[in-house]
Amino acid sequence: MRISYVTYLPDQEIPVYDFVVQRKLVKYYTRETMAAMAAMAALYPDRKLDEDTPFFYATGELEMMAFYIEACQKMAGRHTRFSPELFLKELVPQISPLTQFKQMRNMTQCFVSIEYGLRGDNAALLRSGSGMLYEAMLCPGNRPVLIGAGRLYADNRVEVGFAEVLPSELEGHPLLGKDFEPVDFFRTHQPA
Amino acid sequence: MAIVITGIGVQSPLGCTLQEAMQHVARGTRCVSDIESFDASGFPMKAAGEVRSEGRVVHTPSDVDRKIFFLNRALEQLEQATGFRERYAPAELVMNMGCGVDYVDIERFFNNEEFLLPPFSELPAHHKTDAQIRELARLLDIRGGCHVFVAACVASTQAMGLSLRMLRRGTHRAAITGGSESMISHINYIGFFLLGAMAPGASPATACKPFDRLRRGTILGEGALTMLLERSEYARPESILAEIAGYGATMDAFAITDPEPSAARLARAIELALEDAGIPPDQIDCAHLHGTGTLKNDPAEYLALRKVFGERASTLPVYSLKGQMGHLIGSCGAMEMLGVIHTLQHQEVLPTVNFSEPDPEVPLNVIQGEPLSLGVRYVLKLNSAFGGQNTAFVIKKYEP
Repeated sequence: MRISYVTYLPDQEIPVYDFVVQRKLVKYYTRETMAAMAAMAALYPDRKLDEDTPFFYATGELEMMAFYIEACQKMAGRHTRFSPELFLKELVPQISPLTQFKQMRNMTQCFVSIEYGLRGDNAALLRSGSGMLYEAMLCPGNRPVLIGAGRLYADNRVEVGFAEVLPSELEGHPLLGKDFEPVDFFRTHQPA
Repeated sequence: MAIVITGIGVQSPLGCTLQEAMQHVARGTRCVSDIESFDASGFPMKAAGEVRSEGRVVHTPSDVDRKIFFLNRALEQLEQATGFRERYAPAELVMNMGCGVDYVDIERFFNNEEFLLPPFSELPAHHKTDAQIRELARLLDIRGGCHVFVAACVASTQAMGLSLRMLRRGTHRAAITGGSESMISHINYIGFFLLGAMAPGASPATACKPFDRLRRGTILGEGALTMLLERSEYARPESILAEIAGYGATMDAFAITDPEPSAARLARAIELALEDAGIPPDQIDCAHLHGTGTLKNDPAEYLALRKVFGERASTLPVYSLKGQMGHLIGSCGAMEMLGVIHTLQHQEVLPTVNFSEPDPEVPLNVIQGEPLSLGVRYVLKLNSAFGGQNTAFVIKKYEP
């Protein structure tokens, strides 16, 4: 198993342009996606991946709250109670299609797939580390599989990990069926 | 040994019992209208397929996450229909569920000034999807794992796909799977509207027109469908609704909103599902498509069928349920199994609601008017997601 793991502190800038070819898409990235690009670059410095490589990714919660917090803070100075009129007049203009993309929980996986041309078997999970491991273990054919997970915290800290594994390596893994934060798998298995 | 569907719980625009929902599938009842479940006055669009019971929209307080409310009810129905808790030990059961984005009760979030709280505060208005589903699994004493899938429009089919693989390998003896979704709330509805995928039109009931030349987009729906998958040797024979014979999943890796124009990877998903089922393309009797009614989805599905079936792509009977009830995003694939089961049970392909004018760019055999009777052993089921994920299933009439 080969593993990469990165973490960025709340105020730490992620030099995402150092890691991507599809630079126009960066505007759609969440902070988790940016960190994912850094972690992928660490795992695949030569960027060589078979397009049929299966890829299973488990994301965490939270970045979507940044939008709600920011929007409500802007309204709060002038209004004290929510109303449909207030929503339409003050909040809707702040919602852009970019916001919606950033709320969709499969986006990090999709952007990594676009960046690396991954077109094989796949699944996107939410905080389901066991599901990520089962997907990789049960994937047809004993070929290398890419697994990954990320988590964005409420204070803007982010961590992301990836691993290239063989399905047979996960047979009987003690975390199968257990409830655990998926990124913990990469943090605890990363090389010293 | 086969993997079979042996029970269904449903909360849908078509109805809130399996019997009611199947009746409306068969009748082609239009279940989309203006939003009733919250005050959408002033919204640029109001059309939605909301969950209905005996024709009436199910209302919930704003502090309830509707997708979890419906999922809970659909799980209760499934337990009553199948008795899975009595028949299996907790560790033999796994729950794999497709779902949508988190629900934030924006009214409460604003009025209670939760946005002013420091990071890591408890936010009562933020209903976290994973935590709520995990709690439902705990209440049902499901101890073989609970896994939540979030790949938008293929979330529920990816959940079904893993369930199939688990039961085949024997990691579990039964799987509770399916999906639940509701984007019928202030932020999520408007956010989806801003993506530009919604069909405009004066009449909500006819706005979503799968495969039609005048199609202009889709309409949001909501609902939950749960199903019990079992290995056939453990299933009660009289309860078997269908066999899941094959599954394939691929990724376009092309763009976030648009399907890859050649549809090569959607076609590859079909090929993988056929290989998995061990049948050639000519064994497929009809196809239940994603059929969103958007400008780009429908031609992509035709091209994918063309790559796999050749000339037969224009004669293979096809169907979409979305004209009737809208696009249920995170639960659409699971919900659309109702149409597949109807086809297998009644040996007919239903007319696609709101399809009236064929599109020369989508020369599919879309059934109109009366149901098409034919012998059906194998149905192909396709779904594709925002982000480029594709899934394909081969569903078989169960033959012991």
